[in-house]
Amino acid sequence: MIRLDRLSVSVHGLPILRDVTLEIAPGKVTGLVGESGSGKSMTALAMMGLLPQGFVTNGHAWLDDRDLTTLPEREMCRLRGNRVGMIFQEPMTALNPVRCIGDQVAETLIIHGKANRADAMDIARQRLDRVGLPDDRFPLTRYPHELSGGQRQRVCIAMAVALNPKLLIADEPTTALDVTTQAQILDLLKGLVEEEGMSLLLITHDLAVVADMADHVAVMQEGEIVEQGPTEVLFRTMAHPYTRKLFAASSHQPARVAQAEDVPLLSVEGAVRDYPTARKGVFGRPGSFRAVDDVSFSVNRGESLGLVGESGCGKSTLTRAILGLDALQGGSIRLDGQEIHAGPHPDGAIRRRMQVVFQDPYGSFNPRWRVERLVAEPFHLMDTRPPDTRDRVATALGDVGLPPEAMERYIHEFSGGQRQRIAIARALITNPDLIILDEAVSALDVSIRAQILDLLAKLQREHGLAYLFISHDLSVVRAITDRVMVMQAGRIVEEGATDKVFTDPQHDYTRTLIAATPVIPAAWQGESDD
Amino acid sequence: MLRFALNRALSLGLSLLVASVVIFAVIEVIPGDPAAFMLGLNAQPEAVEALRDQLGLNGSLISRYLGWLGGMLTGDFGVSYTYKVPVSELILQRLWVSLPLALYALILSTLIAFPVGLIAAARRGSATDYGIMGATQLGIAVPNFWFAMLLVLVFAVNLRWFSAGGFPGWDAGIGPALKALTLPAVALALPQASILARVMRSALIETLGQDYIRTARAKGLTRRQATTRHALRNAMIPVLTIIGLQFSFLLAGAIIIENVFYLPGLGRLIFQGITQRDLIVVESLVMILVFAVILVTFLVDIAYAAVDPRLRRRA
Repeated sequence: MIRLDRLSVSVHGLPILRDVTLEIAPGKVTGLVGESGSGKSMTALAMMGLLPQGFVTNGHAWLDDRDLTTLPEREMCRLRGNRVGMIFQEPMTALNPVRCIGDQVAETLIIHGKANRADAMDIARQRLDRVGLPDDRFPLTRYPHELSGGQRQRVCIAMAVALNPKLLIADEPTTALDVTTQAQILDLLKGLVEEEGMSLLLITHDLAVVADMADHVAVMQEGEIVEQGPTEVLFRTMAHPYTRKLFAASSHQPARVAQAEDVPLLSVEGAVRDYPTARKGVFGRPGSFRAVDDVSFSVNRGESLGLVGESGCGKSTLTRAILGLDALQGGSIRLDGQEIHAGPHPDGAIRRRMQVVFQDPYGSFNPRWRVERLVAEPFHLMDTRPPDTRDRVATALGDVGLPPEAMERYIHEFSGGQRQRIAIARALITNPDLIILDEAVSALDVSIRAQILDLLAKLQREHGLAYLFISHDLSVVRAITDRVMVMQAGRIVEEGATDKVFTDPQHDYTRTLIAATPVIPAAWQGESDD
Repeated sequence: MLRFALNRALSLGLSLLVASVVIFAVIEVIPGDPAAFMLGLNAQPEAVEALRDQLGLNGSLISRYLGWLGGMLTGDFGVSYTYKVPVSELILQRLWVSLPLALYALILSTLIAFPVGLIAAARRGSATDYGIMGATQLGIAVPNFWFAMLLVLVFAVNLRWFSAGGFPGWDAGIGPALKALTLPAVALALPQASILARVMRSALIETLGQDYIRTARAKGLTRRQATTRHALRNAMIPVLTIIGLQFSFLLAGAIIIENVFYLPGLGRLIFQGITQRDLIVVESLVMILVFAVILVTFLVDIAYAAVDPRLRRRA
């Protein structure tokens, strides 16, 4: 039995967690849901005694009869990995890159003195088998870089459950993974909970994931649990306004009207993009990898076209080719009949009619420039800089819902959602015909995401924009596009009107994708539509 | 791993070949006659002609290059014009001073830098850390010849523990020889250790912030176990890079320290070769040093691959 009793955490007097009280029942899955900064991860770190220096803990976290908040560090070291295991969000960086996976799983056993090295390796083998990494394809001597994200997360799980802990804390375990991989990892976690009778504390921002997995759900906002209860009851009642808001935002459908004209704007014909791979030996020839394989499609004026697919399918490579950042090895890409060439001297006249918004609202701005200069940057595509630059920047900022004063500030003064608005303003400044949105809302919280989707719908209406909307998130693509393409291993495997593809998928891969996407049972949703 | 090493060895051979062409070409493009240049303005034409012959300057470009290269491969570097002894003998003699001195200094600096960097990183932001960072700043700033003279003053002149300079040769026994190399090695090691400790500290601090350290802590490792078992090896790449650069420098760059301690090392030999216009010695020595630097780079590459499995695939 794990019980948090009025657990509070503060740093320099600033409260991070406030009186968190939560029971984690044995053999059950407890979901902890909330947006970024709500204190979900801090709750987990406080239970593990792994808070950064300077954080002060109050209240209690009981594991049976022991209070985790007051145990000395030496005792905590004995508990971690032994009675309480934890896995994290980012499987790509969670494993030590220079040690093989067998060593890393066995280390949990060795460090707790439960086995000598040889026995520990045997047990590591069993645990890796259990998490779905069989010996013939995944020997103990594999290194993390030889594994995919999902496989690495399996190794992390094997490490965390090597000693059959009473509690496994999973902090956004599938957020960085593709939907099909996510479904497999969630299945694995569920199986472990059932087989081994351990408790699982599942931390996530995704309501559909907890609806699918958890027996008990707690909703967190600003360091407090605002509502908790059995999963179905909580979803059916949604007593707290924040829960309702979160739910509404996660299934938000922006008001859109179909406005596509039957005039092709962007046309991609037989596009092929090869990457050179490492050469074999000093005199060896470099190999090549075909990331985009004979892709043809077109985006009409005013249309919103979705492109979905899992990581590594070639979405981003295709984006780079369309933007003229990389040269094609075959086929052509035309914007309004003019061919796009990659090269050191881009044709400003074409480029300014096509702009892009990327995923990362933190990394895609120069931190030393003021917003005015950031937003005005695409003007370098013009032959002459317009004389009324400031007015135009102010208008673009107004379009995305920011005051003109924002011009004078630096990018670090804005939140993630505001930065994405600024990125959209930057894309709007040259009055483009087409905006490519490359995972543009993937890094945002659901409520912010809903706002940005509304904004995108509004801008499309007002400016007659065409969107190429690239995402791994099917629900978002469904909400914002007229037509959708499904990409797998460099090829477009299915294309059609969005509703039709989602309700009546033709290709097996599309069906797999849709089936793997977690959904909140329709029956639970009816009563909240008040 | 073996494949990787073979591949690296192949590119090492290629680099050497390119280097030999460049060095040969540089000597070729020096304006005027090297022999006349070496002998000075008042040289007899016969003497110049004899030297040209000795330098191998008569004959076609290709045959001269091949002759020079073939000579080096068989250990025949020619005869020094000023010392009148085979260059190979000269270099070998000096190498027996410079190589042990460089190794000695490198071992000292590594032995100092590793624990110091480790402590500073583990206690980041503490008074110990600030103290160590201040001390290493000083270690880098102090000119090493001045520090060498200070060492002589304290340990040779006042305490009389070491002699002030000179080298008894390895025939005198390992003990006395090492003793003679101790003060110069310490003088060389001080700035190197200071740099290495700082690199070690920052590399460790970076790796300690990585996700896999958090994973290790969640497995139940103590802070110290996480540092030694997971952070240390990952922090090695920048440290190895610096060690490689430092060794290359120590081999030939110890010239000032060699002068302070009257040590017959490579640095002094090359300096003398240049001042006495002994191009045969200079040419061969430069080639040897290039070989040493490329060899060290090769060893560092192998060490990278030993430390980090991700680098083994790249050849």
